Parts: sequence; structure tokens; C-alpha cells
Amino acid sequence: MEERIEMDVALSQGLRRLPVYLLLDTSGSMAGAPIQALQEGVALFKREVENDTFARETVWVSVITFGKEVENLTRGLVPIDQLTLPPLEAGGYTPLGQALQLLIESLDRDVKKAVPGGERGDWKPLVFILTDGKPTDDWRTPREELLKRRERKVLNVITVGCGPDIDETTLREIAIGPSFKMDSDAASFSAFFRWVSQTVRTVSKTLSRPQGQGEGSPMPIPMPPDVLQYIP
Amino acid sequence: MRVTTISPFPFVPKRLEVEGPVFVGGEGEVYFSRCGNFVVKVYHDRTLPPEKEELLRRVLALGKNLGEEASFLCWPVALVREIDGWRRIGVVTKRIPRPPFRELVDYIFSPREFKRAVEEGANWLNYLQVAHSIARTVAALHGKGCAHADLHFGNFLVDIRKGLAVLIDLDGLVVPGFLPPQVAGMMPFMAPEVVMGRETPNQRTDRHSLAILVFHTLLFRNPLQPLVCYAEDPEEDERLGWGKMALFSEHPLDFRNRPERLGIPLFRRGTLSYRMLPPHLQELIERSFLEGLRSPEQRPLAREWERTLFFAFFELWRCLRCAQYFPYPYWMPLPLRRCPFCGEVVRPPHPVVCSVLERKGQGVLVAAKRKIVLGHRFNLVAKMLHGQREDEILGEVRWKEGEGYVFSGTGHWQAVSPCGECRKVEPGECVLLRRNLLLVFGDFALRVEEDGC
Repeated sequence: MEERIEMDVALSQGLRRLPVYLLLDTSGSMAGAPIQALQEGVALFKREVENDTFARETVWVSVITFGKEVENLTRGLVPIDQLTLPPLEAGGYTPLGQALQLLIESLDRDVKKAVPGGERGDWKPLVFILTDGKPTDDWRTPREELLKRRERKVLNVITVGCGPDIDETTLREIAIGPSFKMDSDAASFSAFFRWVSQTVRTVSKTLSRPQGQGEGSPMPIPMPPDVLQYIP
Repeated sequence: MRVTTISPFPFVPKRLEVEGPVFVGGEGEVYFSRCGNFVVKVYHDRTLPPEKEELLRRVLALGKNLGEEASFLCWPVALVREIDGWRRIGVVTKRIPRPPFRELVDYIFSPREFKRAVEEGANWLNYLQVAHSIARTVAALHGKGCAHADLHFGNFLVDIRKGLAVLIDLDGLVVPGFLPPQVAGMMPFMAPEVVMGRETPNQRTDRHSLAILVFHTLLFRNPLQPLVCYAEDPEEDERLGWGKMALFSEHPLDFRNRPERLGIPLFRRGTLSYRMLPPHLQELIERSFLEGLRSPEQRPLAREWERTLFFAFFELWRCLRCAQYFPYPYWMPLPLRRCPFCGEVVRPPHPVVCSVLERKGQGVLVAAKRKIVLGHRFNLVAKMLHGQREDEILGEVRWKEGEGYVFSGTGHWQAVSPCGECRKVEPGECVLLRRNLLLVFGDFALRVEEDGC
């Protein structure tokens, strides 16, 4: 007779991963509603990406927080369905530089390099930086390094400043790639993470198109929500 | 937002309220109408060739006289004229209800999607129905002289329980001399000559995409998935892997793309091989990915896929352990006949395996390229023999303990014994199915190859 059998299925083989980094500001100024909104935002991001078959199979994510501690909460890249975050706590200053350094370390360690004749490499990583204040450490050196990588077209970075403490001048200074500004209310965070999910989903699909990520073909960023103001 | 439309069809309103966008892609944005009946695709102005609107008008005209094909070809039904008073270019199509429809990719991307579908009550049999339905849509489109040019698993919507597939995104159709190619496609589904830029999409390149789609639907993987790196730049690597260096994963001599655990049961972390499919499907797969990979004219026609997939239904057997239907592997030695999903050995009584014969010129019965697998309480239906849509029941097979399988017909038929004795059989009379017995039903016959004993 039929029985309920365990269906232990393997993952797809040979699929190129799309590494996605979320660098999230957890400094003291994020205390209260913003940190709560951040936590919910990451959960929303996970749900939305998981609901998209294409993205679920290709997106690997890493979350780096910077505040009292600078930490890679995922210890490198994890498949989207294994993304779990501890409760986020707001505190300390805004050590953006250390976070960028941690990002560089992870890019070097966790992103698969192509080995002609051997293993296939990952897609160009996609990095989102969300911060609500002026950096309080040396951020210029790691930023320079990331800018160089972006110029070599091995990285896509989007920087978003949130809340009243970040002005356009600061944002322009720290930005690596396109930058946006938004408020720090719950609705803005929710809209931001929804847009991040949509971007990730769109990019994961577009990669399979010819010239998906190539030179002269800009990353297909969906129209940002109204809460995000583009900083030219 | 308010969309103004132009349509030859009275059922499309002149004005549509839309919400969204629900999707933003490289080509444009997609909106749903508030009434729930239509999808509106609006192209990004920056990517638009100047002749786009005229091309869309031609696509629309080609879809004016669809018959039952309208149920599986989601043809544009209107052009966009304006959005909120601004001149924009786009198309309107009917909205396929989700649920029950979902994108094909949600069912076939990897074995994970199959597992989820099985947990929700689907069976591999439904996947075979979907593959057949996909081949039917492409055959219908090719029958009209069109090529789709962008066949991939995001452009089919599927009702898995009914095994139905609907083809969408018909706005990039290609008709030689009338509609030039407007899109290239999605790399894993594109013919190597298109990836390499040596050819633009046409029916022969569609036939490659169709073969990939059928393989992916039945085995949950891309048959050309590169496993080796050819260049450091990922995009260049993709172009080489799917283009110049494209290679069938089960190439008999070149093992570069051979997946791990090939042939191991799927539910034991295995990878399904095309060798689990009936021989005639195996043949089409080899023609597609061994001979046809570099010689487009060798690729099977959509009609061949449609017909072969249709007959594959009559070669299925059900696993008593995991309940999945699978092609009964009569081409394998008896001890090696296992369920490809859970690995359970097929236990006796084994089914009856018959080859089909059809009457050709001068009344001679000639073996057709197909078999029929029959078990206890299986009906023999006329369409199993000739492939036409007739549900006339010719008879029933039953297992009689101590004797073997017997067949009783609903009408008269002729039995020809292995030594050539021919006799007319009355309706309801039971005849023991022994090896080499010939059952003749007019212009078709069955020869018992294996009697299950």
C-alpha cells in the first residue's frame, strides 16, 4: 500500500548565485520605532524574495549591522530561506567604516570567484546600505576600495539615508552608487524593503536575459516608491 | 491610472482603470485593470524602436480569428493609446486568473517546486499533461506561421491540476517578412546560434526552446545547464555556456555538464535522467540536444512533441509506494524496473505491454512507434490507438488470479494467435492475454509484448 514517504530532494546544480548584502544602521538614533521597523522590514524582504521562485533559488543574503557592535549577523552568505535575524538592538555610534570593511572581507571570502575550467562564479553582488546618520569612524578608506570595485563593474551598491539627521551633503559624501533619502517612519521602511525585494527579484530575473548585467546595460532598478527621494 | 485603448474586439472597454505596476522589467511595466479582466503592458519609452506600434498593430491583426486556440494563446486584444492623457505605447491582454494558474517556473524550476506541488496533491502525470499542453500551444502558433521568439518558463501560465498551459507575452511574435524579431529571449532557453548572435529568433530556434521547456517540465532541470566555467566575467561565461560551448548534460561522451547523482531516485536527492522517459521521447530529446543543438533543421517539430507526449500517457504506471505515475520502463530488464521518484521496484503482477500496429497501404499492419501499458481494470480507449480525440472504450483489461490478464471487448474484435490462427471475438468474451497475441480493431492492432506473468 502507499505510504507517506519522505521526499528528500536536491537543490539545482550549476545555478549562479546572486549575493545580496544588507548593511543596516543600528546606531542609538535608530532606537524605538525605527529599529522595530528595520526588523520588520528584513522579515518582509525575506517573505517577498522567498515568494518568488526565481529569486528564492538564486538569492543568497548577508546582513551586516553597525551600531554598538559591527556584526555580520549571517556569518557570510546564506540562502534566503535560511535568513533568520536575532532581535535588533539600537545603540552606540555609526561605525559605517567598520561595516564597509566587514563587507569587503565577506566579498573576498564568501562570493564565489570564477575559475575558468573549474567552478562557476557568482553574479555581481548587490549591496544596499541604509544609514540614518553621519559616520563616526574612518569610512573613507573602505569606501574608496568599494568605489574601485564598482568602477571595475564587479559590484552594484545603492545607498539610502533615512531620518532627519542625514543631509544630502553627507549622503553624497558616503554614497557608493545611486543614493536616495527617506523618512524614518514605519511606512517608509516598509516601502523601502518592498522596493529592495522588488529590485532583487527583478535583477535575479533579468540576469538570464542577454546583456543582463553587462557593460552599458544599467541594473534594472524598479521605479523607487514615492517615499524614496533620489539624490543626484 | 486611466488607460485609453484601441481594439477590434467589442469586449475590450475603450477606457480601463489600472493599478500597479505589478511588475517592472527591462522591456516595460505591467499593470492589472481594476475590473480584474485585463493585463496592460506599457513599454519603457527609452527602449522603444520607432516602429513598435506598427508591429504591435500587426500582431493584434494576426489574432483576430482565433478559434479554440484563444483559450491557450493569450493574444493581445488591444493597443494602449494613452495613459492619464499621455501618449504611451503598450498592449492589453486578457488576464489569466491566478489561482488556479501560476507561472510554469513555480512548478518546474527545481525538484523543490515539484516536491511542493506533490505535497499540494499534484502528480507527475499532471506534469506530462502540462508538457503536452505546452507543445500544443507552440504547435498552434507555428501552424499560423509565427514564431514566439521568447519561449521560457515565465511565459507559460499553468493550471497544474488540469494540466493546462497558456502562452503569454505574444507581443514579440516573429513572422518572416511581416514581423521582424523584437526580443532575443531568456538565455537558458535560447538556441545556441541566437546566444552567439549568429541567428535571430525563428521557428527553428523556438523548437529548441520548446525542447528545453518539455525537458525542464518533465525532469526539473535545464538539459544544457553549464557546470563548468568558461570565463571570469559572469556574463561572458553565460554567453559561452549557453552558446558556443552549449552541451547536453547527458552527452554520451562528454561529461562536463553531467549532474551529480544522475539516475538516483528524485526523492533520495537524485537527479532524473531523460532515460526514464519512453523511448520515443528519448529519441526526440536526442534529436534536440545531440543532433539538433548545432543543426537547427534536425530539431523536432512542435507537432512531433505534441503527438509523442500525447501517446506517452498510455505508457504510465503508478508507483504503489509514492503514488507517482511514471513511464513504465519496459525497455529495461525486469529487476531494474523501478519508480524514478522513490526507487521502489515494480512488483508483480507487472502490467501488460503491447505494441501498436496500424494498417498501411494494401492493408498490412505495421508497427507504430509507440506502446500501450495496461493493468488491472484499465480501459482500452480508441484514442490510445490512433491519437484522435475519441473516448470510445474498446474494452477492459482485468487480472484473474491464477490465470493472468484477460481482455473483454465492448464490441467485436479479432484475435490472432501466435501461430497465426484468426478468430472473431464476441462482445464481453474474455480472452487471456498471452505473449504475441494480436488484438485487431479495424485499422489498428495491439501485439502483446509482455503479458505480465
